[in-house]
Amino acid sequence: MGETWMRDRLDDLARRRSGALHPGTPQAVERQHAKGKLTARERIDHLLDPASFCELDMLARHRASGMGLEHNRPYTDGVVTGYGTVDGRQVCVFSQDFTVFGGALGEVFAEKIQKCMDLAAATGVPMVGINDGAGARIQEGVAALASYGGIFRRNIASSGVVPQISVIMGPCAGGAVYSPAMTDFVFMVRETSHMFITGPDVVKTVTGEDVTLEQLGGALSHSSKSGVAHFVTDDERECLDAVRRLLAFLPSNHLEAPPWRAPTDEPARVCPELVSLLPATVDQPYDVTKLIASVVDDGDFLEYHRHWAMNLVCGFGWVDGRAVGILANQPHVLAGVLDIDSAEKGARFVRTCDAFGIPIVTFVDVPGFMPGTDQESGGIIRHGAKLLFAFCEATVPRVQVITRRAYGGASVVMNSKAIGCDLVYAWPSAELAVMDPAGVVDFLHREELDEADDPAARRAELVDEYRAGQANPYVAAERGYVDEVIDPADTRAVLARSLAFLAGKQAEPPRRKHANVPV
Amino acid sequence: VPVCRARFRMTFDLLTPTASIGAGRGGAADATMAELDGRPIGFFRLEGGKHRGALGPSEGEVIERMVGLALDAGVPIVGVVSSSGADLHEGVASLHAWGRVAKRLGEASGVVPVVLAVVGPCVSGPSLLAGMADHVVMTHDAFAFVTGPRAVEAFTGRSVDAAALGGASLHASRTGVPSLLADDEEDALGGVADLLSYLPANGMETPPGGWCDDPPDRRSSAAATVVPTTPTAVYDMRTVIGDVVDDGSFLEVRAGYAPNMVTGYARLGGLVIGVVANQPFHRAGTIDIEASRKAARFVQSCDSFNVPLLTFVDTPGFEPGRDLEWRGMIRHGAELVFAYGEATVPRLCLVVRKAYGGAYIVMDSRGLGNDFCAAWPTAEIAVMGAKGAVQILFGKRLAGIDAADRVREAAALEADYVAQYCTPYVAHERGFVDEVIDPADTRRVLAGALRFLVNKREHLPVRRHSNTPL
Repeated sequence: MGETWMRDRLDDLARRRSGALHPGTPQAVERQHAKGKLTARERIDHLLDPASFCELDMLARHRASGMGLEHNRPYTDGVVTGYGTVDGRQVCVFSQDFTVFGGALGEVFAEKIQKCMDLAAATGVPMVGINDGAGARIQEGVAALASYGGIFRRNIASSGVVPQISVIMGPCAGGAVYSPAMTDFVFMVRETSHMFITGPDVVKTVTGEDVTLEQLGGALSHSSKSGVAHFVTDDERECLDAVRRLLAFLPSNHLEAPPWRAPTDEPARVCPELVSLLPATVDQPYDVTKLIASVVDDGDFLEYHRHWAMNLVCGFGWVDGRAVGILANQPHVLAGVLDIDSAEKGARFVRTCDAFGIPIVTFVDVPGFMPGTDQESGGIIRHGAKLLFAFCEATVPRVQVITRRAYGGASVVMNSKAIGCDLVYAWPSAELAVMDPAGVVDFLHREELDEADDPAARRAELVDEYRAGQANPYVAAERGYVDEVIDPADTRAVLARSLAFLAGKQAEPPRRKHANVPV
Repeated sequence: VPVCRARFRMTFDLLTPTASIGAGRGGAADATMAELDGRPIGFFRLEGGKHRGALGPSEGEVIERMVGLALDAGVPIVGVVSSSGADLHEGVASLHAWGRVAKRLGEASGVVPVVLAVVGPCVSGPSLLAGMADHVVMTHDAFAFVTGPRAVEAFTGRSVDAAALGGASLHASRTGVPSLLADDEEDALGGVADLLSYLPANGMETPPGGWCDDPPDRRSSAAATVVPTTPTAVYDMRTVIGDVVDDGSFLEVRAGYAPNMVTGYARLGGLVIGVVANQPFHRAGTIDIEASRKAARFVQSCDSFNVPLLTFVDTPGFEPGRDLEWRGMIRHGAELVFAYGEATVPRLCLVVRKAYGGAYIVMDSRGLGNDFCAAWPTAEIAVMGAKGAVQILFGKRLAGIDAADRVREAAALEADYVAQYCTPYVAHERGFVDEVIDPADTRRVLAGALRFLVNKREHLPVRRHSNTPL
């Protein structure tokens, strides 16, 4: 009798679970697939190691009433939450289910997410959120809206404690955008994901502008214009693979040592290709990603904000098995100047690395800040100061290699010795100068040039003199601003030994509530 | 640009140098221990010398030492700057010098207040120091830029003068670098003293204050009458603020920048507060990128120095627009959310009128963690306005009826929605609003709540630092 009794109850449980596994209608699932989108559960299955997912609150249902809600109470309430592993490491995950209430956030939906976030913070594991929802569930009114607040607070309390990753795989609009925007990394998928605060209809009504969903808030706009999306992919599976790849570079929390993986590349590998990397003259461009690919393990580099502010390349790589964050001026784009966007991009990247103890390597070749009224009236003083601030504040191991131009204020901002870089290396081709040599000559020898018979020739002469006497790595090396002038071919070996040496670095930031970072 | 200024000067000798630091270096920088308005500060001046205030190694060392000393002593750092930038004659040593100053100022951030008075040029790399300071006061004839007119012309072919490139009025309206503008150096130091009168000497102390001639239970009748009865009519939120806080105590900062969001310091029942308010007078009080960033930095700055926050809410929402989205409204709006959510100081919120959707949440809602939220009976707290909500909820039904009936039916549904949902009472019922109050009682209620909360202690997780969006 006991067995039948239990079996009945197990059948009942199975029925309930089945309801929770298929809370949306088959038609809704079909529509999801037709758009090239996976379902909430398919996404989790792809993201996590096989059979590692443990679901929480699968039988949760909303308690709201009014506007017909009381007659429609699907299990899960439209979001799948739980924990599992990625490459054997624990993570928490939530995945919004567009097939239930269009993924709209209600109070119980939000409670589930909040519980999951609390567990991630308490156990010190990364939080991955997959967003595919229509915003606040309007039938639940202001209570649904207020639930966002609880999610935001947890995003903020967990910020710099555990890595937070947002994956946008559908609509994410209105107040819903702020949770992803506060997380460390945002992934988007072309064509099927959209983020905006006010949609095309409202834009049309208020401003008269005709704009499509994709133009307004598609992956391309956010990855190349707004700087909201850090990573973009063509489809969802590729996107989830990229999340797995990123997680490998991150510790599970701020107290854990940065990841290490058994190196497959020789740490002292000589890079002869770097000797011929630089073009013949100092104002010619080259692609700095080639330099990065040469020095990291196996050429493996995961670029951050690849399509935005491309004049500063940022991303993660491995050097002799150690995860590092790399920043490099890109002479290929805008001659590698710093401007507002690149300063913001770099600042956030530096702060992300610093928050999670990931060492920072910089490759400097910067002619200065971008001149122009747009930049000045756009507030380069405040925004440029963010990158300066971020480096000043960073206590992780910091190494830099000056390959060529390190001119003026921009070179100070780029992780200079003065603002706390631990080890500074320069190639013999480096030109450290208070501004570009021609500018210095014009400033210091204005009268002489005015009076010269052949000003152009005299100027060229003076510029050469200045290069020989001042704009080289040796004046700085004399004063200790550069620790060592190295052969480019040895760059990888030097980085590997420097990072090994600095691994034990301990530096305490000042005691304060928090800094007053320029915003 | 109008700058409203309320002076709480206690002495007439505004700046009294006490003991000189690093005198005899003979450079353009001079530093002293000093008293400003009777309170100890670390003071430096970067001006004159051989190269028009150029910052070289000697100047850098003097300033660096002063910053370090002020940090050790836990007193504010005040600098008067009129500088041609990094000293070209000293080459890379000049760069290293100001870099070291930046590093020290970074250490000072959130530890002691850093205020710069820019009274002349503030150019090239060292101008970024102004970007790091908590507050900047600029004289009208001052200018600041990272890259000068000569480089701009060489690079873009456009000739532009210093004022057009980085003049004080441009900064006040476009970049938000200066908190206050001033007529001359003395006035600028007055502005610095005004700002510091609301700030503690360091992040471990509470702001000065305590005195108050204005009765905390005074009825705020002017505030009560200024808000128009029609929901779309405009009014100046500063009238409400001025009537609620202690008489004449409101000091607006960054008044000319993003005027659709008002920020400033004030006192309430003698206690210093930071005020953040939507301003229906400008762009109907909508929130855009600049407004978000202005408020975010102010909230963060108040939190650094233990200044409680009072938020006045009346906003129809975020400003819509393609360019705004492309410029990163999401990222920058999130800065404001982050700043509020991270703030552990006492947080009071008053919903005056409109509070819709995401903008309601962002403006220090209960969900985001305010400690006390009052609303006027005129408050409208809802997921969205009536039009949008009716479209979403009844769009299908409306589409099924003929045009004439549809308009009438939609209007009726909207009126229902307004009556039922666009009120403070739904939010009050759920505890998102603590009390719906008579506007004339605003001052009494808020002053009481502030007195209750003034010793609030809250601790965020220990971490290197959070990773706020930038």
